[in-house]
Amino acid sequence: MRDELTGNRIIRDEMTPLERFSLLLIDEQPDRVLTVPLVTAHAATAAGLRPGDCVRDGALMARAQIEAQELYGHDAYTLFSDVGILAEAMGSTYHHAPDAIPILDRPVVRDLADLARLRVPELSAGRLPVYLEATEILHRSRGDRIPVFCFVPAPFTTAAALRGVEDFLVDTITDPDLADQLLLAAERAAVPLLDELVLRGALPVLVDPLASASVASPATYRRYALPGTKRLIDRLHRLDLDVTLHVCGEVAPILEDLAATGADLLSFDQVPIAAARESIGDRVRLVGNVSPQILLRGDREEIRAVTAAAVREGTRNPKGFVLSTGCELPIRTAKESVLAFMEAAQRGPAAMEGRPPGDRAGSPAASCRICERREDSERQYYRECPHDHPGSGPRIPNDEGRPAQ
Amino acid sequence: MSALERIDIGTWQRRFLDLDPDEVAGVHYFRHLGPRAFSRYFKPPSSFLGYGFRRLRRLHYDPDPRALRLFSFMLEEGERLFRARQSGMRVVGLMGDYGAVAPLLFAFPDVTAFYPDFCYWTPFLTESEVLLERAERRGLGADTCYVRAAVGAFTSQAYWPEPDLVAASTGASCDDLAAVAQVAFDAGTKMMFLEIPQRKDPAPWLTATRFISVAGQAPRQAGLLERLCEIYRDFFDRAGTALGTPVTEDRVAGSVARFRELRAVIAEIRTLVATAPLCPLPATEELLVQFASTHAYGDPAECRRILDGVLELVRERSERGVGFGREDDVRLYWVNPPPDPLLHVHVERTGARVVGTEYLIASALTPLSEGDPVKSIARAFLTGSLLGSSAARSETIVAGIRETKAEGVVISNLFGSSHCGAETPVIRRAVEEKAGVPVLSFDVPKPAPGEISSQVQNRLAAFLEAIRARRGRCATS
Repeated sequence: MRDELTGNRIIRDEMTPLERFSLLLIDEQPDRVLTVPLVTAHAATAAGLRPGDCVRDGALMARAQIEAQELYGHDAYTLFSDVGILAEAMGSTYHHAPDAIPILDRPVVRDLADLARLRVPELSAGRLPVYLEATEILHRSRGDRIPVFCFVPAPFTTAAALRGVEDFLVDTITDPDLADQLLLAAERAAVPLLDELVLRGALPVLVDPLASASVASPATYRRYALPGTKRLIDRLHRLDLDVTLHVCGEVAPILEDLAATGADLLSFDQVPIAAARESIGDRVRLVGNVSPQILLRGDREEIRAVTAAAVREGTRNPKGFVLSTGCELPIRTAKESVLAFMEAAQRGPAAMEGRPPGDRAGSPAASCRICERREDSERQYYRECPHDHPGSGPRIPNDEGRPAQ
Repeated sequence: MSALERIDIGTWQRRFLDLDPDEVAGVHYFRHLGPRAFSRYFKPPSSFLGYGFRRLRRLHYDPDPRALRLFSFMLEEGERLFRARQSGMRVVGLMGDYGAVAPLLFAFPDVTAFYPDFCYWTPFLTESEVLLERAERRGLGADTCYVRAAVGAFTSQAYWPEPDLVAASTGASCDDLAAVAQVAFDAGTKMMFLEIPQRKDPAPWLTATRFISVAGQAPRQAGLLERLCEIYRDFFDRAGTALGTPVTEDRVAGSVARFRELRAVIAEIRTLVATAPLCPLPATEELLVQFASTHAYGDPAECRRILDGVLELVRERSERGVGFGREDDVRLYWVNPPPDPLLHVHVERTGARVVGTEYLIASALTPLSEGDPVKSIARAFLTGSLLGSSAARSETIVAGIRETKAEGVVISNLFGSSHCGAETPVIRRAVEEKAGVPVLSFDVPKPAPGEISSQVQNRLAAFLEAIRARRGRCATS
């Protein structure tokens, strides 16, 4: 909008990440694309900490998230240590190393007797208190500005961690009853944790990597993974919460099934965004999906180009889009690479691809929300749209590698 | 007599999940649009935590679903405005008139109204300075009261959609809100201003002014009612032009009648809260009932259903003799109750109950008379505090104290609010002299995470202790 007399642009304020996310959830357009790379264990690296220490100390885990967010300027905390957090609380043992995330050492369920002994874990069991403490710290310190996404393993993934991945997959074929009982125990274990996380201000993300088509067949997903995940999502929907489901790996054959869980946002990995948009984009907000390998190994130009392409495709999704990585950022991803990703996200694809102002990039026309001139919808996400709203440019890394404020 | 316990946020979450899902899913706003997935609003307070409403974790709540429904209806108002726009309704902001204009505005078809003014609750509910920081960057700092939060909402467009129109009252209205309106205007908001005349007190030197007296109300200059009616009618014509919608007299009468009934329900709830031996509704919930009188939270039909439920609840409790606290709780009259629900909860935890309030929306609580709808609105507005003198306001407060049999008065001042600073000494003197009850005044602490400041806690505790000691002395003498 312009001042009628002076012609000066009337400047709107930049939104906080939480405002951005809240608008997305009610089908409104935020000031730019919401950008949430999965900065999980990598947060420790970004903060100069050791991942293995962070997953065992809630205060350290929160500190890593805060410092990483301040460094990169992304739009949410993504609190996650590993997919075994519930299984460990139920008795599976994990190998802990200072510089790595925990690895399944010994599954707790070796026979039916073990299964009978499984109980819903107390919230004081295993590393659940670490999670809860980190959530509490993040929500208390910055929860008015930054969403706190907290990842909880979905039943299929927890069941695999209770039994061992291979054994569990064999169970789904040879002993469906055992598999069902494991899934039920895993589902019940997730309920109190989810409830408590909600009470501490977290926004729930169900994570189910072991149910992807890289590990299990689509038929297995439908028969075993989908029902429990759907029940958990239905329960969270009773509280009217918006639920994200993250499944990394190959998901193309199960896209419809993932949408059938009722998830409000789907964080996915190895599917072209356009294909996901065509298939389920009218029902689900898409979250994705720049390959973490690009950020690990690509140079800045490649990262920018791939990110710009993801934004261009994603922002055309009818139900909305969150720019993210397809999976967790690798621990040793260079900070400069993440900053290149963020820069591309915040400046927009046209600027990154050197296209002239007003280039529509195939997007439908709409009014710029900042100054109300009609432009391509892609540009509405960016403060440096052709109308050049001052004071609203992207965060460009300064000499210290930190985003300029 | 039996006491009810307020419940914490975790208990509400567990109890909510035990409610009949069909009953919960059947509760919608904007029912004229038909049931939509987005218009579900009934949910426990914990569902709002992740979206920034951090204060809710520290509160204690009425355990009845009918009261919870009111709470979630209020918290959902921002989303409701966006959904209204998405559904083709026009969205109109009203500023500084405290409930006078809304009943007229709802006469227009497919229109909803909201008060940016009430954004001053947001920094407290979110324990956040985000909105205040934005206001400061535009020149409204700590010398303006917390209504400056509305600036941050206007400039980010994340709290309500760009309004089709904002009607802002100026003149004998809140100067802080006038400052906010100017910033919103500078930021490109389509504004329409209403110049509100001052209600003067008779004085020997006003020889050229004729005053009239109305039973139970402050005297006012002759012709003021008619002047206000002209202003509203003029506004009505201009709003019709701006919204591109003519409206019939029948619709105006119908809308005002709906608010007349709504105010009657609110009045009965307030009376029961003040008179029942045990308090049948906690202070925060009661305050939310009062705020419904201004604009029905943008959906008068649904708001009426909710308030009917609350009235039913309060009646049941009063008849059964159940309520919160104890019969000997100190009866407080609260002037300028703050937008911090934790403070209300704290007062009640400390052994007091709020039996009456007086603040800027008081005129919206005045019953609407039958007859000419515009005159009815104007007549009620003229009973308000903001357009008159501090002396007149003090008289209203003294009358309220007597009516509610309050034992003490709390005046909470908002930093930067000029009427608080100027009026508090005047009100204190009038209350002490004419009502003979003690007064405690304090500044409302800045919104921040954590409990109420220990200074305020100590002062409240000492005040209540002094009132109890006073009871003992009165009984002895």
